Amino acid sequence: MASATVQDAGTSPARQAHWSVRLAEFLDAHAGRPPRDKTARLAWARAFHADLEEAHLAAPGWPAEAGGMGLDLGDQIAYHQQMTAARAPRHPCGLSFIVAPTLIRHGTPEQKERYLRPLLRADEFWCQGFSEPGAGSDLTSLTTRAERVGDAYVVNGQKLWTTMAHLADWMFALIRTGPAGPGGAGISYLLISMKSEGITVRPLKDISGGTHFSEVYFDDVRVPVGNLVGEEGGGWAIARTSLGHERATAFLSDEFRYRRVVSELHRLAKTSGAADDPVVRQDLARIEASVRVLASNSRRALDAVLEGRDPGPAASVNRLVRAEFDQRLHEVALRVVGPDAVLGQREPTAPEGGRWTYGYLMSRSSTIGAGTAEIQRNTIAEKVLGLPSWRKEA
Amino acid sequence: MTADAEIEKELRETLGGLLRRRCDIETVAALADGPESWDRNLWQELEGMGVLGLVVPEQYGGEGAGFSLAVAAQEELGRRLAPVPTVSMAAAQAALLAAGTDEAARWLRRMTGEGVTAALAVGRGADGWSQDAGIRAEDVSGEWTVTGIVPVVADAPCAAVFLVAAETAAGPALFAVEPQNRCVTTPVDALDPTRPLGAVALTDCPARLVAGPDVFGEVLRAAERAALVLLAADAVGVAAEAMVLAVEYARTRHQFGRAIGTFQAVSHRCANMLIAVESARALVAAAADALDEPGPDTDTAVCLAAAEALETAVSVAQGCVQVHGGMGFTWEHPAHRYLRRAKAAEALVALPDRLRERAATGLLAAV
Repeated sequence: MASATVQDAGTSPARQAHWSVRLAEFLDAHAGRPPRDKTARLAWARAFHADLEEAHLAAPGWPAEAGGMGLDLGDQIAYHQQMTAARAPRHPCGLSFIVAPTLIRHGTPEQKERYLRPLLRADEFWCQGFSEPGAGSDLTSLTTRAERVGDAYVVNGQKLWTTMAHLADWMFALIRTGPAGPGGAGISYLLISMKSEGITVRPLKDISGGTHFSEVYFDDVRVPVGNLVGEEGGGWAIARTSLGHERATAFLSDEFRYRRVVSELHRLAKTSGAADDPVVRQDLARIEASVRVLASNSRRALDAVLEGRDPGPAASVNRLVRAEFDQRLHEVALRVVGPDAVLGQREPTAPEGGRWTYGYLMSRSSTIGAGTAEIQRNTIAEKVLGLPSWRKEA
Repeated sequence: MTADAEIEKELRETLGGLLRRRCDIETVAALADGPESWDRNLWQELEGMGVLGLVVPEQYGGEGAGFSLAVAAQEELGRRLAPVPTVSMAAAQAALLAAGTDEAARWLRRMTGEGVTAALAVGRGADGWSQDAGIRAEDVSGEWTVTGIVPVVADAPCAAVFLVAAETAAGPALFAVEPQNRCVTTPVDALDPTRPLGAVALTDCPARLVAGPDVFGEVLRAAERAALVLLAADAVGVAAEAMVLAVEYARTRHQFGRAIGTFQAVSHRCANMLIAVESARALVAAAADALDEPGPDTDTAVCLAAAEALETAVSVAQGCVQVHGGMGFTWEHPAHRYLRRAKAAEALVALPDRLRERAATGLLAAV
């Protein structure tokens, strides 16, 4: 890991102390337990990230001209460790960090000026408009379309599985502006205000009975042409822009979380008596092996990245391993819960507040969202193993 | 790249190159199907390269490189199904290092300096190695003799010295025994001919005390851990190469007018192989580090790695047979040689579920 340098290139007084010192002071000043109430907790997290941005301590990996800290990868890792150790609240809108790299790389100066700061401060939330009822794994077949009318695009169609749509101020969306063709031709990247006329958000009740997603309908929604990112018809290529190796650093915080959840599962197994069951013990050992594999793969990928090498198979495999681990973990957890697994997550007597039941149901999405396990296996087979694509010969 | 990674890369390249020249699958098959299945010449070359003393400190003539490098070497050896007793060797070396006696030091030097091969005659069970090998030792006016039959000893047909677990009046102890007319090895038909087995019969055979009852338990555990980690590394190599064969076949074999690798039932099986191999390799590397820097978690790390790697090799080798279809079922095709090495390794020291049970005990005790 790169060691922290003592001086800082910045000139303002706030930038003269080393970032890690300033971050430590910031975290001290903002220490405290999160409010129990959901609404209050959201407001608390927003305030935290607004203050963080104010203190020039947000977005460690972004370039300084985009409002970030411009830290190198080693320092970014140190930053995340410091934040995790202090149990700082996560940015309340993770999706913002999917649109941000695209804006930073491909946005106009006006777009960067307008969107990045409110995004970092969590003043404005973003949702992602990619999936549609007819376009899931085969995303390039999407049909929500926009027609150019004067200085605006007029959008019609429907998006699905839109996380945070009911809270979002903006949607970054892939919209068809031309005929379909190879390589995602005819798809444009538009920024759409969720307050536009003609937008209807319908919450979608999910597997857990909660509403984490929505359907979003577009009925003649006008989007100024200035909200096009990149070229018209060039949206597909820029949709997955990343700033180098965010995934590698993102793995880290997951690792800490999984380690903690597995330890909690061990404790549950001991208190419930399931720890004496030889079948459960086999499962617990397998879970332990997986959590160690995840940690090791992340470290190897990170080491490679830090040394400027391609992280190789470890990185591409890790995402799938993680998704399936998450499911197995919760399957085992319900086995540990035992006969009480008949209880719903809202039943007050359910062990540990029903968290394992809820987690079990939610974990079913980890092999579906953001690329199904099947699509990821296709990718591994073709990109890592060099097997011929099923598409070409089909 | 770090210095350690650089050294590992160099070792893998040098050893991999040697094995590609000297240990191709035809050579291995010819040896395995012949009267003497192990490769003496290759052993000499490995000795020359320093591969045989990787886990032995320099003061005993070794390389002092530790298990982190030894597992890299063993993975390369496993990849080529190398018929050489490196796993038994490392286990013997670990036992001798843990014993710490002058007798142990003498054997360590002979192993690193003369390429003397070793095998362990210990009690075998599903849970792992034990003192219960059915051998008793007698002190006849200051000279030890050992008597009994050990029905299955891995690498016995190639061993120049046996480390024998035997019961003394004061408890179990470890002895060094050299083959002679009072120590006779009879070959045993092995599922995996690249790791030959023998029954060892000892009749009032002269023996030298290596580790007494006071340290025997610790010595046996050290040997077992070394064997498990090296065997696991071997399994990663076996799995990695079986995967290469399967992927290559899936790429070139055509049915229904297309490469069978375009069918997701086949390609996803291959993807699963990669995931399993990468996962096992990560755990083995962690276990090797744990052996190099022992701590309270070492045994758990070893058990988890061995369970995962041994099972992975079996499932990937089985998958390799399956992807090859009828060809994979023939004697001529090498798929069965990988499967044999994998399946026999799973039962050689301790069964994967027993290893997981051991790991679970350690994990839950730490809660």
